[in-house]
Amino acid sequence: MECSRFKELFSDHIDGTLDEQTRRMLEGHLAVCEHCAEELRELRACVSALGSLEKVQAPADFLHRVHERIHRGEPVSWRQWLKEKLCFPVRVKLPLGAAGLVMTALLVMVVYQGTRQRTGPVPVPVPAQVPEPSAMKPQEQLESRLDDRQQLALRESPAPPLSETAAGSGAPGSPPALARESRPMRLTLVIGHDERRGRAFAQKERPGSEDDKPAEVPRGTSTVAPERKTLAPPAASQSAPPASPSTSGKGMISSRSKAAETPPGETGPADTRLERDDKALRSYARDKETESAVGGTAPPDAQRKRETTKASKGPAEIRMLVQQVGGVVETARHRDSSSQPESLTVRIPTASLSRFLDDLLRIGRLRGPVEPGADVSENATILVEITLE
Amino acid sequence: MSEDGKQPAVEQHDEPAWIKAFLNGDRSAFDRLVLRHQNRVFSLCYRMLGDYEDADDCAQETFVKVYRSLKAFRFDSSFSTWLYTIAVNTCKNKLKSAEYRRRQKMVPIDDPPEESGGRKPVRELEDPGPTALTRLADKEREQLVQAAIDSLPEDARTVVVLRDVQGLSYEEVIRVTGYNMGTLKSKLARARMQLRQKLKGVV
Repeated sequence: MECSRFKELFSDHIDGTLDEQTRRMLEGHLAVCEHCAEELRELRACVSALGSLEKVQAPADFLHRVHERIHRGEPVSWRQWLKEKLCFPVRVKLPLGAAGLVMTALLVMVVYQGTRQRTGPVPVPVPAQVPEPSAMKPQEQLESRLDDRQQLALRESPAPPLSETAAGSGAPGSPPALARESRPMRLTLVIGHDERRGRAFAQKERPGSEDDKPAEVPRGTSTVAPERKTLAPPAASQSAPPASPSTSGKGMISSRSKAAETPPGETGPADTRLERDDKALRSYARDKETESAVGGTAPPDAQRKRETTKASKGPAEIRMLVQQVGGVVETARHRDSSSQPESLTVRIPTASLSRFLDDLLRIGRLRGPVEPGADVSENATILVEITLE
Repeated sequence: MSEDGKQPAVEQHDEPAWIKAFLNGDRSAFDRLVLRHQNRVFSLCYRMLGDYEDADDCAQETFVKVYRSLKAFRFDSSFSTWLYTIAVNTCKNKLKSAEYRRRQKMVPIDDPPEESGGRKPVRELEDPGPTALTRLADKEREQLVQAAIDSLPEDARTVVVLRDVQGLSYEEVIRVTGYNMGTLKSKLARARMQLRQKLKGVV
């Protein structure tokens, strides 16, 4: 047997687990092989060294630490766990918790303020085609009827632009949209103070002369036409594209300037409603012509009667116009010691606002800036407060 | 075991009663079990790990496991064997987690070929300094022996520590490790030969 085979028996020989025959055979080999005998001695010394290693003692507080570890791992109630997690050590965790709360509150405030500042007006989808006047916003409808000066006054008016008053706008400092919704459009309508020019205008546009033809009025000419006989057809006026501010003439707004903007080819036949309006207005103009024919000789009482008639016709016509567009007169404020209203607050369907403004400008002229009122682009009706002069 | 690790038979007879007392709610019975076995378990852990703090941690963890699973103990084997099994497995888990950290402490004394298990540093010794071997004392020799044990593969280290350091019998080692007799003898012989190579000139 070779030495390598005997070396495999060394471990069992040290432990004394070899059978008798194998042990004798190994001992015989060791007696003649010094190399294997030396190796066995080294191995025996190594095993002896392992067995003589110092027995390491556990620490004195070993049992105590085992107890601590056992209790540390035991399930505790959630209240105790929360208390230990949040409050202990008190000197460290309470200040840290307070600081964390303050920082969280500050962060929430900063984020909230940033969100409010970033929130702009709600974008309204713009249709691709040219909008009909009735589909335009009140601001646009109004601007299309104003000349440059009035548009400038409108933009410089303290009321914010309509686009900024859209419902849902969360701009800081702006009043709630609900309160703005009730703010009416305000305008001042002057009726019957330029009777002569009005009559001349009425005569010029009398049927049979130059009906349905827009008068050539120089830009900047202020024209008052309360007695205008011929009205532009609503269809034509509504289908006319809104005049841009750059093309509008300077001066006071008038129905003539509006008529001048209407293309001649679009003046079709008037509908029956406007025919009735025309008849009423023509009779009113004829009355005034008769009055003017005898005006110089009329007694002072008759003159006062005519003034009273003029003053009473304005509100009556406005009421009629309101009814024609399907609106209602909500309030009428009266002057002191007078039965005639000083101002009217009417509610007009938004879709009919364009037509109503056209009709208003036919019986009077605007004075001063126009407050646009609330944005009612998403509302069915709009309040218009008309102050009469 | 006696002086070589064997526990006196009289003491062993107490343990089943203590275990039953603990299971009946007597926590002091568990304390008696700990006090009786703590040094042996601690020593086993230290020889298996080669680090005092790791041994302390593993020994505590062993008794915590015993505390929580003592109700699952079956009296068909001795409590000490069951305890050693838990301790050895705890140390093996610790070795897996602490292997990298321990390697950082070691410097290779040669470049042995990588073994099949991927464990390369078979023959490593703690860096004793250039003149350490010339000033060998008992403590230093013990450190070298421990370093040689630490350099053994895990299974070889287990059988050497259990059999040669802790003095368990073949049957007890078989119960703890789960090896059969032939495997145990083979592993033990190979581990001893490796140690002899490492400790040549030391012992």
